[in-house]
Amino acid sequence: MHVDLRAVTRRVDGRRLLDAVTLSVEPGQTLLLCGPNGAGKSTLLKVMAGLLPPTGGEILYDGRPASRWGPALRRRLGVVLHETLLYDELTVVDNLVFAARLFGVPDARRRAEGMVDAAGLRLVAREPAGRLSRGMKQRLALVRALLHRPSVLLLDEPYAGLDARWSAWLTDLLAAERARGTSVILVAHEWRTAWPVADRAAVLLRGRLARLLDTAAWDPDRFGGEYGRLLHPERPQAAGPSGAAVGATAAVLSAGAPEGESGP
Amino acid sequence: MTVPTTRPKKTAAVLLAIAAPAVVFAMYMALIWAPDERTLGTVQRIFYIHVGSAWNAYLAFLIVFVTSIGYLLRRRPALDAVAASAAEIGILFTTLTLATGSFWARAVWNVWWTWDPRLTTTLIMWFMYIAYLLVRAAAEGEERRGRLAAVFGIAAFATVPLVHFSATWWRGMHPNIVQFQGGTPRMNMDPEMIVTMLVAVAALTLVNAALLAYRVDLEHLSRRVALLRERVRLEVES
Amino acid sequence: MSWARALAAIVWKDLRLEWRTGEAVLTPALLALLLLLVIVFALPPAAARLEGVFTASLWTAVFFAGTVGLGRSFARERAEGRLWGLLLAPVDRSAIFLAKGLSAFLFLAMVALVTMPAFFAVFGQRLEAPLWLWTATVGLVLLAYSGVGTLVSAVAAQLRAGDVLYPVLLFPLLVPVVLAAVHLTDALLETGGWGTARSWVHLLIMYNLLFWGVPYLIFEYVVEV
Repeated sequence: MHVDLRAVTRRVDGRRLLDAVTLSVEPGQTLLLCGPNGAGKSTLLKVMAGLLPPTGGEILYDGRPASRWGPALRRRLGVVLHETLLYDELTVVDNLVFAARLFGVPDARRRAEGMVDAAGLRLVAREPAGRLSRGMKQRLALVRALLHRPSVLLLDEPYAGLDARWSAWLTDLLAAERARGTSVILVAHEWRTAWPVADRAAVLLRGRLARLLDTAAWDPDRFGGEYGRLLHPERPQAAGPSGAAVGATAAVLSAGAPEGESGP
Repeated sequence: MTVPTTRPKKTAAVLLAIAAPAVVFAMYMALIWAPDERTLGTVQRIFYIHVGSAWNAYLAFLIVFVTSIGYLLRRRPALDAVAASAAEIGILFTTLTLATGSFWARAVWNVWWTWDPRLTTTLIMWFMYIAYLLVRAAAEGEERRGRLAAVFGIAAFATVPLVHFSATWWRGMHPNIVQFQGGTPRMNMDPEMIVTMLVAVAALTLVNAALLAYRVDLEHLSRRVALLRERVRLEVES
Repeated sequence: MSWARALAAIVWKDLRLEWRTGEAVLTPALLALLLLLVIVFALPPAAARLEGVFTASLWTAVFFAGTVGLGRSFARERAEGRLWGLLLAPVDRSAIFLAKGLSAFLFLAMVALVTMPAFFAVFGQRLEAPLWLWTATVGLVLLAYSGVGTLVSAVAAQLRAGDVLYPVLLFPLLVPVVLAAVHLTDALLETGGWGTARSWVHLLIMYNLLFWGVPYLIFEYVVEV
């Protein structure tokens, strides 16, 4: 599915979490989204998933704006978030059966059982999901996102909690999805692990798209240098934390008060 | 985020300037000009402030209802500010209504409380709008606070007619003859009393408007402070 | 129809969870029975036979014990971001409200099924009215309770200390339902039918329309997250 973000903005309580982000992902393409903490990566993913409304701009899926798609759009999206979205007291299988039914997957139980095997969780299939290790929960969350055969995968830190063996498993899985024509947007703080699977990389900085590039044209180490420069641009060191803080506060206060405002 | 600061203050001052003499005038009418009630005497005069408060309580909550709907549809912070202010003022007038109603009951029937349908409804409303303020206090973030409070405000006001009917039927199908407002007393009111009542209602409505204007202005100011605080925090963080 | 399937899925999930945790039926039912005990201890010996004491005690227990389970309706979706899991479903958000409301109703019905016979037995009360009429009346009351209770649960789940605030937010809105419940059940016990209390049925119907209709329309806004 073709995903098109046009000047997507999200402002909450006066803060600009996303600032006019524009990018697009073709079918079969994988986009790596990276950036420091608080850059807005998770927010962007949630906006794309239809969980948070954008305050500005729009997102087009196959040329149609999200608002015109309605709820049916979500059947084409497979989402993995930071949170597991799992019900601790339900078994592994039941969690998948629930998700399958929720998404209208035909023959839900058969499909769920199939996914249990795909994630290598057969031995713990009847265990309450809360008893699983971090890595197992992550695998469960990942296969759950694939139950309904989505055309777009939105993955927030999919490699988190996975050891080397299961990281490789995920990489293979993503390659298979790519071959099927699925568009993948994945957020990875540890971008090096995800670098090999990505076609393009986008760097988000304070809600803004700072860089968008083809991974094929960049050597990972060279990108690492560039990335570091983006995160920590050269800037004169403050005399001390208090000096910088006071200066910053004064600047903000004088900028915040409109003309004619009197008072303490 | 632009938040108007000077205009509400001016409006508020103007309203206060009109309301203050209006209240004085209403007091004169209620306490001196209006004739004594036949059977109850002077104590009946509390009726004027009681009716005025009750009317304004309901008006304030109507404002909460309308601005809540408006906020859900338009998401303008100004609407939320008015809703919050109106709720507080509504509670103020509700308390006044309950208190004056209670004094009335003590004076006329020698009980501090009566389960008269209107008083009962007012009491339930009091609880509902305290709950509304609790929702506002417990919500994190302005957006969430505005949205959840709006939902609750709509649900609360929608219940009011049902509460009123329940309270009316609760004490028997027919209205109590000893009801002190509506029905018999109102129809028997001297024209001077009717006029006084209307003046009292009008004066208190002006007070309502003035309070609302001041409170909304205060709300805007506190939001600006919160905004500036947030900006400072962000600057210091980075 | 995917909408109905999603709704059924959520109800199934809630029922399944209830089987594992017992927090929506078992605990409230136990609480109601304990409240019955407290009421019996608190009442003076002859009071139980007095007019109206039975219905007052019964509904006090049901309404209070009910909040324990009802409040959890959305509170349990808070952890692990589960509400987002529901919001990802390819259906209107209103379906989530209906599903949760339906689960709540089923749970309350089960609590009532356990609690009411116990009250009748302990108070030595006899049911003169036909059982179907009693069931229909209680059903209408619990339907109203689950509607408003689910809406408030969705609101409270997004607040700090929401589970503590839940009863405070709910009860003022519930007043008409409480009054209706008591009046109708009194009428049933005294006269075997609704009789003059019929207007309370109309009130309950209005209340149900209001508190199932309005949340259905605005639920999108309630769970915007």
